[in-house]
Amino acid sequence: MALRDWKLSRREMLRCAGLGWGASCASWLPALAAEVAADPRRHRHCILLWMNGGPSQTDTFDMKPGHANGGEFKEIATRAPGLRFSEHLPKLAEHAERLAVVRSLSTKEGDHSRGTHLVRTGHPPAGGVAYPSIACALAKQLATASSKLPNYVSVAPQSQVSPASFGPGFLGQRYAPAIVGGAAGGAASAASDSAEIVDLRLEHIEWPAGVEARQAARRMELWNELQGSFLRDHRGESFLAHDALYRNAADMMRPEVRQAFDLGAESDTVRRKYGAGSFGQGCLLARRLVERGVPFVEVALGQGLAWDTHQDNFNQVRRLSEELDAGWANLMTELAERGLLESTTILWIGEFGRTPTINGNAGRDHFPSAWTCVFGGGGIQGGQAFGKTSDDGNVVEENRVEIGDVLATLCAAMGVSPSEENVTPAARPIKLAEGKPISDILA
Amino acid sequence: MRFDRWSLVVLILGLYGWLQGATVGQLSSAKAADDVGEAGTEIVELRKQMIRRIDEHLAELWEQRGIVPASSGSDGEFLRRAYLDLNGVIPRVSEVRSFLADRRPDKQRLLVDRLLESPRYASHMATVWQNRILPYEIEMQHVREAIGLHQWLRSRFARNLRYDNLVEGLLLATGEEELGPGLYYRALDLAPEKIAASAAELFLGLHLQCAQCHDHPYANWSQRDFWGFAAFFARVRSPEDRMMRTSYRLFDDDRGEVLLPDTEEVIYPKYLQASLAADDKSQTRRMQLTLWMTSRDNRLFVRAAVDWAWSHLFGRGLVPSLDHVGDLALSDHSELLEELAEYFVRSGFDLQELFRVLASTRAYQLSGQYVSEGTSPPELFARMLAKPLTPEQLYDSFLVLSPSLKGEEQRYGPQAEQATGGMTIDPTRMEFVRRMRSPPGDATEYRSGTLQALMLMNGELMDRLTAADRSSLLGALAAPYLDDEQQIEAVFLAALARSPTPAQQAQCVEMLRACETSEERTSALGDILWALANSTEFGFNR
Repeated sequence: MALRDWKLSRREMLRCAGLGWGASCASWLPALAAEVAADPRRHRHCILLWMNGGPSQTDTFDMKPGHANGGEFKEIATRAPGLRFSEHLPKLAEHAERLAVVRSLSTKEGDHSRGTHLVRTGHPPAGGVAYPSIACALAKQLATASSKLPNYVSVAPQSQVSPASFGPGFLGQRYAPAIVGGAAGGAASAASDSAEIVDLRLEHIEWPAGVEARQAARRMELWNELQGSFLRDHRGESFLAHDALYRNAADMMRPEVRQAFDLGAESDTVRRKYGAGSFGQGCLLARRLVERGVPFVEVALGQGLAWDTHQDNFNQVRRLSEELDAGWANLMTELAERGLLESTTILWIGEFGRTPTINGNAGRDHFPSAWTCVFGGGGIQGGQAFGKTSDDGNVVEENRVEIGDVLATLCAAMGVSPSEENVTPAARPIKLAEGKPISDILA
Repeated sequence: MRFDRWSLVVLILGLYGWLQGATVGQLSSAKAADDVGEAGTEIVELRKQMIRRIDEHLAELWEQRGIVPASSGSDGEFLRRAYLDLNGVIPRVSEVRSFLADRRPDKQRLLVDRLLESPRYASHMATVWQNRILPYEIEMQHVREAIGLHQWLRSRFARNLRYDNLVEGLLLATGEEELGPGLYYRALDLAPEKIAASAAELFLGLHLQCAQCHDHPYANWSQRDFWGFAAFFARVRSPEDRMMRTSYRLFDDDRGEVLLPDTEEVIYPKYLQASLAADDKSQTRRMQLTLWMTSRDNRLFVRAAVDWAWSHLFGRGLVPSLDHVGDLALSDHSELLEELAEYFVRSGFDLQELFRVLASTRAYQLSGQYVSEGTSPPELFARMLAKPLTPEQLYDSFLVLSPSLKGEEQRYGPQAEQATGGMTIDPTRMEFVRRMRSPPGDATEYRSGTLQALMLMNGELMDRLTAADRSSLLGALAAPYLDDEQQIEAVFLAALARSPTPAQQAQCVEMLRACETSEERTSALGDILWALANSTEFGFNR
């Protein structure tokens, strides 16, 4: 049984081969990491850090110190010369050489629902075409047929605001994300050491509570008999597809797949480092899944429209930043240790930015015309900021990019051509992304 | 019938304050209905002829091609099929028993009549149509209007409104008096080219959207044809709402044109395959189009309707494409399509009558069994094509299957929908449908994903259906006067409308006998139900 549990992770097998089971990872990790990173056949991965509500660029990655719009937070230096972040992102600052900040993103949708649709699909909502989210489309491109694990896992998605933007659209349900732990943990205390660690679970991967092993066996036994007897007499692709799909699903219920999602297998120390909330634990899960070859993982921060800081912006952004900093920075550290950062592209983005001007409630409002997203990891030339906003942050002054360019950059960073097409049921070809990759930030 | 027709005429007159064109259109279509109405017995004879004609046509074709049609399906198969197609659910176990026991020779016909009269027919058709006419997933963004549209459609199917009048009502929607039909335009962003592409496909069977940007490479539609058609929708507007909220009210402006893309050239309204529309100030462009479109002489319109009804029952259209005349002529069934179209017109665009005819054919009774694709190509309908259950059919069938879900059924089922005017909504159903739905496409293709299968296997809905302490179907079965065999039989009849095979019976009996306590027996029955509800046999309408 112990050996079988390792089955899905050849990397882990490799890691343990020739070593005592109890050996510490520290000594051999760097060598293995270099080997993994250099493998040209390595699988590509993507991690989308989705900032529902629209994060404030002025209080995170495009600060305006000395200007009235700058707000309460101080700027700090990062590992990358000249690149500066908010004081509430100190751990992330250590990784700045692997991060490229795009400060010149400009879009036209200032409503949560429409903005979410635009950013996640590359298109404003419209009749006619059910656009897939870029996550579903990229997961489809990056998928490997042999994997028993889902190709796209989404942690605590807050999709109510625009359900269609989180789904596979015309690609069909087989490209839908596997949802982990729909309810997000309390952001307020997530970063503190005493907070209870959020328990993330993949939906429907286990028999419901109360179904005993004997029952499960009975179900599958009779199901097999029904399938055998029906399929003997009934031919047809659709019947076979149905049968195969259920067998696949049953495979996903095996212990080794469940184990990939079991954060209990990680030490408490590691879990705490990431932060106890669903974002931190989601980042840890993302690392585990990338290790096991899952091509696309998405992690959302906070419940509902967490970043929608119309009031009390600074206290809220401070808390959110702490959670973001712990989860994201540890994710980069641990991916790098395993040689997986080279093959994993990270994108940090929400549906829009927030007004540089501060409103009467110490808040910031929706602001699509000049905002920021951040790329990191594989395929990205880090340590730089691309584009520039004015001193007051209100307008893009250099290198304006649109959402299509951002999505095209994401594709290109992973070695996928943005002009790859999917075809709608009405035979209309739709590109993965309509824009032009930002070559300055591609490695 | 008479009331519907006149109420629509009055409505149109009232709304447009304008007389002549409308009456001519309405009266000409009214005449056909009167012919039929005055000769009540004639319709029965005509119906018989039409059914015979379909049977003969297919039999001839099969003979010519050396194809052996599948045998007739069992009573249970027919019952389940007709239920799913016409009412959107599987039959209750009591109905299965009584249908199987029924010895009347015309019990299939009586069943079809019963299903067409059921309130479930109206709500099922409303669901089918809503999914047809709205872009994929749009109702998630407009929940209230989507419910309104469902209700609007439901009430029309419930009184079997003439098909031409149904389409007229939708195309001339103003959203003034009723919530709902305006959503069709709104979902297409009020964009003339999107509405044109959609309306042409839905109601004329034409795929024009390629011609939006260039002359259609394979068909006889040019880019100008497309924009000429789109021009009819160029003046549909929605009033500005000061609150910047989406408005679902519509009106017809007296200005607004479409331009040929990348040019300044105005394209004026032109009927497809016909002349320019007269510049008639007294008639809105939508009105002009609708009168042309839904006329009994518009073969495109009638063909598309008949072909849709055929595909609803048989899983694919009678002809591969309605797009061009050349293709039509090549099809084995083009003549039959014309005859059915003629029948549909003579019946007064009576959709129920059309279903009645199609469901009475021999082809509709055939089983789905066949040796290979080569020996029974699907387009010859020598066997029934299986359709995966839609998310709505699955959910509603689970409700039928388990009285434990009765709460929802009472609160949100068709009866409740009738009582409340359809303005209630079952949130569990909506979420289930959202997560199970596949984008539009071939009705016979299974396109679900692993996660949907996991949700069915281990989700809340299945658990309520099969958990010993939650499912009252299992509770009802625990009655002391039922022995093992009878209980097993009941579960099979309920789920599959058939008895277990001897092997299945033996396997299930063994499972029950191995149980030590009555609680365990109940959970074993739940496990049997689980296996049935997750089987491929259950998952399809065959």
